[in-house]
Amino acid sequence: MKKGTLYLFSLAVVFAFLASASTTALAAEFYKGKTIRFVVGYSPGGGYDTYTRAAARHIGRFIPGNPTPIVQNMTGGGSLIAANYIYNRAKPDGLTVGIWNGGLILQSALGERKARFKGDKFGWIGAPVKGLPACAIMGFTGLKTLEDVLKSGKRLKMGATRAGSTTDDLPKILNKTMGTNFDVISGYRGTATIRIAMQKREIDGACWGWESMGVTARAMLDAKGDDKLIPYIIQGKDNSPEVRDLPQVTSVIKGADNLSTFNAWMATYQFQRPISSPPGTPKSRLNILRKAYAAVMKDPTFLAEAKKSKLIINYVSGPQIEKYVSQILNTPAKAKEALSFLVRKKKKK
Amino acid sequence: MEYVDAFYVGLINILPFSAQGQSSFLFMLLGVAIGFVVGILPGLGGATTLALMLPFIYKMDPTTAFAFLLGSNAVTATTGDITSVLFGVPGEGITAATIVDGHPMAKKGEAGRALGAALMSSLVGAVFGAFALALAIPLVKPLVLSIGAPEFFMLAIVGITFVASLSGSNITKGLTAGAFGLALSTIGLDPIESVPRFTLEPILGEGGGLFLWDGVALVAVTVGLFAIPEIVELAVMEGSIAKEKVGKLGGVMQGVKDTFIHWKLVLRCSAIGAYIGLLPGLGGGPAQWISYAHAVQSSPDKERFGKGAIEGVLGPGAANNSKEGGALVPTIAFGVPGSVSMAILLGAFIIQGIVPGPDLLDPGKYLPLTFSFVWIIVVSNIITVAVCFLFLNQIAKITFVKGTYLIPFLLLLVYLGGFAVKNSFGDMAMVILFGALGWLMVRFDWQRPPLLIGLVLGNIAESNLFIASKIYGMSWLLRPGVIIIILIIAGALLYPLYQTWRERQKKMAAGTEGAQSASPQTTEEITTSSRFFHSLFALFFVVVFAYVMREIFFGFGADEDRASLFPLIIGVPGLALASWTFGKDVFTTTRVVTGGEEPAVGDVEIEPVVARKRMISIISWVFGFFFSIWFLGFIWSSVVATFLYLKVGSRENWFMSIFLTALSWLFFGGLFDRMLHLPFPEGQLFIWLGY
Repeated sequence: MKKGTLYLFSLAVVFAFLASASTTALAAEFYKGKTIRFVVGYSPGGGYDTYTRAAARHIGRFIPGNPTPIVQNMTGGGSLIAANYIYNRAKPDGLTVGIWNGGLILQSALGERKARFKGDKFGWIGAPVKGLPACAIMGFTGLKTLEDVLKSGKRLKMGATRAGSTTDDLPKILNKTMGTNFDVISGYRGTATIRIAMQKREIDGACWGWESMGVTARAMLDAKGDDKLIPYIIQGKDNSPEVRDLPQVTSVIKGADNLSTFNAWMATYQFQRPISSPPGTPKSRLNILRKAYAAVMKDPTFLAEAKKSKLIINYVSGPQIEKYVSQILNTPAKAKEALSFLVRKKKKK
Repeated sequence: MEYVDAFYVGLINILPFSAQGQSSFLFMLLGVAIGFVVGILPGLGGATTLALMLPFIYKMDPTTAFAFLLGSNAVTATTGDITSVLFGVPGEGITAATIVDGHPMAKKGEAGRALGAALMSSLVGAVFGAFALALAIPLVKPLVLSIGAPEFFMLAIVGITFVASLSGSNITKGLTAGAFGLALSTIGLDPIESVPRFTLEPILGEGGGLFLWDGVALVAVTVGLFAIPEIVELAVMEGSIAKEKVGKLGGVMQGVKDTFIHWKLVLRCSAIGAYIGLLPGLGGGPAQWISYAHAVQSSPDKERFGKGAIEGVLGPGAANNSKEGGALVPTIAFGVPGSVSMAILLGAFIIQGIVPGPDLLDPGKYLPLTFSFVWIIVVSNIITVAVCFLFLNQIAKITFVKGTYLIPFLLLLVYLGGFAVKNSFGDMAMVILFGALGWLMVRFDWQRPPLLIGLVLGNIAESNLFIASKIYGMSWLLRPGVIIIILIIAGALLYPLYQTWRERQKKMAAGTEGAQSASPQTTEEITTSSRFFHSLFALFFVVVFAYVMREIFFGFGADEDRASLFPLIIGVPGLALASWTFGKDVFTTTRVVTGGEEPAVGDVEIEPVVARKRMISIISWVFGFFFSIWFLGFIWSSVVATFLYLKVGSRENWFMSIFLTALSWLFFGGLFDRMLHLPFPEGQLFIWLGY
């Protein structure tokens, strides 16, 4: 009898193995000669598009069956159109994946009804980078450090694009949680025009991602005296000399409520430009895509190209993203209250 | 001296006399070839193409890489003019203004002349822009930094004042159309607080409302306004695009000569283009329209415009090319891209490990490369224009091809052009919507350019007015730059008055002789239908502005004072103007009728019954193609709809029907789907069948 059980058991193991091997093999069969569509929620040439194209060029090599990746742009509504498309319309066959703004998950948690999806239902594949939101101030203000900024007593003009962007949200959140005295000047077309406005001394500073600031504002960071752009606070770790020793927002913020408010906002920056598959994508194919994406993020050719393009790579895995997403969806009520200004709600009459 | 050296080295590095030069030259040719095709085809944007080309530069040296990218980018505006002139369909979003007078010229059989003028002025513009870039290099910082939000706002106002001169014979209609364009620009999320405005959610549902968050796309509006009415007219008049044969096939050389006859205008428009290009944040739309407006405004005889005035081709032709050189200035000097294409070029700088800014202006570092940019723009445009001239007479012949052969291609391209804006079906719907509006505007004698001026400048005006008043309070009105611009506006408004006055003086002196030669050519006047419909169309604008006011007070504006401020500034005069126009149309009925002016329909007389029949037929086809693309998808439509149109619609013989259908299939299925992977939506039929 004992022998028989063992026999049965090993048979089961073999079957299980065969079954799992065959699903992989079937999936390999599946991807052969197919194309994988990367649907990007922003227009060509932007950060989302650049990161996606950089990875898409290489991912085919790491998927059994070597499918052809193509990148398509579906712009609109700050990538909301792409997110809704991936959730509601795209076929969950592992051939269509989406790249859209993870901040929308927070928006949906705060009650934005235009976000017609549940963040935890997507199949999260991975993200190339973590966001490093930072604030910087111009040399001509005479201020250099966070302490200077907090004590200056002046109302500092911070340039911003429009509500819903890092440039607009972060200074407002710092006003709420750290008592800074920022006057947010919105309406600029992009961080490029904000940079010009700082050089014109129309505004005193601005907040946006260090991963972009460190590259696009390079000349200003290297400038001297009044024309120098000085970062003074950041969230997240980076080894560039300008920001290595800066205070972290989470370590200077005071009060548990303030901290949880900031953390709720910050969670969406832990996975920037993430790739997701439609809900219901077969687990086996999702796993293939996850593995392939992880392999690209470690691939020397990809990393060399990324380095040349000054794209910071800071891989976040699919399961990690799942954790952040559930953290966002479980934001405490008080933090939600404090962040409610991020979502526009119809006032009740 | 160092500058001169760098200038010389910059040239040598892109000419095929050294190893470096050969590689650059070769890739520049490749880039030019790509840009050539992209410019001609509507629906393929210059920026998207650049993004696709970007990965290829990893292994190139900087000069070669930029020869490749910039060579491509520099010629799209030039060849885009060709499509605009020939078919009335903008080849690129930035070449739409060339249509207004270029296409009527093609219809008069002067396609060659219009193309000659467009290409020559493009070349002059490109060279001007390139040298403006070279000259601007030492002064670039003060040039860009002197323009703050208040000045930006005032520049937008300069553009808006041009509306008056673009209004043709009826100023109130023009101003109403301009206000309508400004109102259109406020659709979508407001540029400061992201309040959704006029997104028509109750009508369009949530998805449609979300689509309008991004506002109304300029390309879709332009394509609709201009291309659809042209297609309808082509079908109604039958025959070919060109209605008359002009001796020596259109006279390409005449167009070249025109460029030099009007050299002052060409240079002024080149300067306008270069300056607008230089200002980051204005984008591609304004340069062409403002220079078109300038061409009209500076002409003593405004009546000719819109009917094939050569100046209307030369102005935008020069400006949309000189803009490129100008746009490079902020990109090079500050790493601040002036347009989407420039943003992608900025990516190329980064890949090449070059930090835009002082390094590119330093003779010891990258200054020769910067001067290579200048030369790349010059040389690639010379090559393009030279190649075009070789074939121009052949290209112009396409206007003598039977119209029915072209119509299916044009319709598919027009919808593709709309679709490709955001790869969305919504913009195709915009094309058909604005197509209908454009057609009605032509019928009821409303000018279309004011609408576009309003649309391209509205957002710039709004956000800069907000920034200016938030930062400076009211004191921004006293900034020297603002005062200078106010003086320019005053001058620009007064000069035409002075000019007409002088003309009148001259004519008085010359007696009746002058008066005769100045009599307007009315050959292109479209039949004015009954006054009832005229008034009805004016009423449409009253309703639109009434809706704007309703939204401001009872819709989104009820809770949002700031977001509704700018719409209010537009809505009040808009409503007044529209009501005025409506009132005038209603009450002047008798006068027009007693005027007894019998309208002439082109040169070919078509019986009204036949014309009506053809019109109903083509309008059905316009909708039919739209429906077919929705139902069957693009690829199948390129086969089914094309064949049905040719065989059933216009009763062509079997051979031509099958041949052209096959061509259409190759073109749309092969080029756009297989090679370029445009994400065509699946046809609804296949979704229902569960494919």
